[in-house]
Amino acid sequence: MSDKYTKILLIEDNPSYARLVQKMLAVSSQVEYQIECADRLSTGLEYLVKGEIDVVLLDLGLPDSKGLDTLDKVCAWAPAVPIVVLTGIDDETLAVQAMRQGAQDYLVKGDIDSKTMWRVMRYAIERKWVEEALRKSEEKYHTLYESSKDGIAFFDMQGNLLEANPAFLDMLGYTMEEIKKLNYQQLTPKKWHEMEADIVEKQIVTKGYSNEYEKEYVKKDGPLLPITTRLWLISDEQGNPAGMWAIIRDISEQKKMQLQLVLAEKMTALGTMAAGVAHELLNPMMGMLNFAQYCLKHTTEDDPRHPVLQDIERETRRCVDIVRNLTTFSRMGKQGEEKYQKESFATIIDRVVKLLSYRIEKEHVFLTRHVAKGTPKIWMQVNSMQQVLLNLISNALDVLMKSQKKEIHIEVHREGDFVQLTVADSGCGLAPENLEKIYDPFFTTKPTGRGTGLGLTTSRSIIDSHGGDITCESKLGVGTTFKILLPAETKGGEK
Amino acid sequence: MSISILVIDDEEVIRKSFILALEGTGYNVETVESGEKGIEKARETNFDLIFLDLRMPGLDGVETLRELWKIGQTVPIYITTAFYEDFVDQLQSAADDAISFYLLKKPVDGDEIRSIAKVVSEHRIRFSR
Repeated sequence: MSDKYTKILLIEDNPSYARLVQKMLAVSSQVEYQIECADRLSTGLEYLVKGEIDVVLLDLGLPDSKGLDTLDKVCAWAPAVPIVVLTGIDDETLAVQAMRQGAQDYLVKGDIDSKTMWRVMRYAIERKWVEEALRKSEEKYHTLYESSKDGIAFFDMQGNLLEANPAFLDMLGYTMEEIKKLNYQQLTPKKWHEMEADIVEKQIVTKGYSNEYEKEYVKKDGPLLPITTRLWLISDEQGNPAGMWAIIRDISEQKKMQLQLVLAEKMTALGTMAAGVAHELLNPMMGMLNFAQYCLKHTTEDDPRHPVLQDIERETRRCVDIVRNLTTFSRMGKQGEEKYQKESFATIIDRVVKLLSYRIEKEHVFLTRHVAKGTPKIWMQVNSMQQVLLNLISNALDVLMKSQKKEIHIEVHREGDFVQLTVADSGCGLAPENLEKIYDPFFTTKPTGRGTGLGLTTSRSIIDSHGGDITCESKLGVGTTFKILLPAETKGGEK
Repeated sequence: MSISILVIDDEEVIRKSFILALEGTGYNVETVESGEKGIEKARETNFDLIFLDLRMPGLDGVETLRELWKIGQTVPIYITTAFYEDFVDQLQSAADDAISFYLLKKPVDGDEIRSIAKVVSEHRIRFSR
């Protein structure tokens, strides 16, 4: 509304009626006003385009437009301006129809007095203003809903999803149509069902909302997504619980960081412990080794104790190897000291494969390697990276020992800002429950005495310090693929 | 040719290992359990070869090494250790001061001990100062 005047636009083709309206307005005007008159729709629209019109008095039957069509056009040109329709005495049904289609009110020609006219216009203006405010506010919340990074979702009291914003759909990887077909049990892992039922009963229904809590959803492609959420109760008109709305925040990054921190702490503690243990054990082992050798020297070969002494010597050396592995691992913390050099994967793959060639041939493993043309040399701690490759390929060789199909495929290519290395084997694959544990210190699937459970722990810490990422995909009975991404240009996680 | 060997190590099991490994070789082997005693022994006797532990109570291996060097030892000194990482800086600074030594990683077995002794006995290695 303009500050000074109420600006009225009268669109009416009957000049005598137009004059009558103007007269009536003048009679009991309590506000200052200005009136513009148009005898055709096109002229009226021109006024509207100029703006500042507070209310339109509209005759639906004009020379250039008839009936509800007229109303539609005015609405389309000026959606925020209230319209009062002027109709003939026998046209009240049309008037009602007009109100359904956006008119604020109507006046029946020949049955109006000045006061009614003013009152209708004033209410039309006020109602329209409230409607507009509501619309804007809704738009604001709709934008918030659509563009929020947090998920927003509506559930029924059984936890089934009724509606969700794009952020929530993105988190889980579903489209709206897909997710609406799923029930609570399909979206939430079983272990959370009891807890959430309890939260609904003890918090949401009781006090109208829940405290924030953590849970998981199942993503479309299978993995679990850790989230935090908070829910509020929606009640129906009788005050009964009708549903809940929730704000959902993806905390997978946070969880990952936490895990890495815990792992880093574990590694440090382990390193310190390993160093201590190694020092304490290697002295007595040197004793055992020399004592056994001394006894061997003084026992003839036909003495039944001779092979037993040989066993002692051999087993002592095995202990030494295990302890040595531990000390290598404890030095991982110091791996940061190795200098970065630009080196190609072709070169280090070559070295590692040569180192393992005896095993590869002995066990008849078919090994392929392919480094794509144009793969750049990258910055790496060469010895550490060889260690990673050695770990991956020897793991593959170990697993192929009991496999019919014996294949290892090594592949390297550039992938955007990264160079990707994959080592795939045709072994028995890892059980899903083991897949999450493979990087844990001391976790091993190998028989006792064969693995220290530190190879992949070490490998991951090396890849991390290079600013890269290592992932593992495995299918039981098909094989396991390790994928390593390393920055193609930057050095050791530099940005 | 017979040589004299000194073993400095606080652990009896190590001293015994050396004695057993060198038994029957005809070399003269003496053992002591601390750096201090090792220096004392080295003052009295001319040794041809010294095995020296790194981590010991009292004088540690590097300090003992510096003392031995001070009193004019020029024979080969083998620092035997399971874990020298904690002593890298001290060892580096000893090397920077032109003090010569070898590093030997524990556990050392009989063959290795005897072959070192054999090489030293055949060549009578001395470090120049």
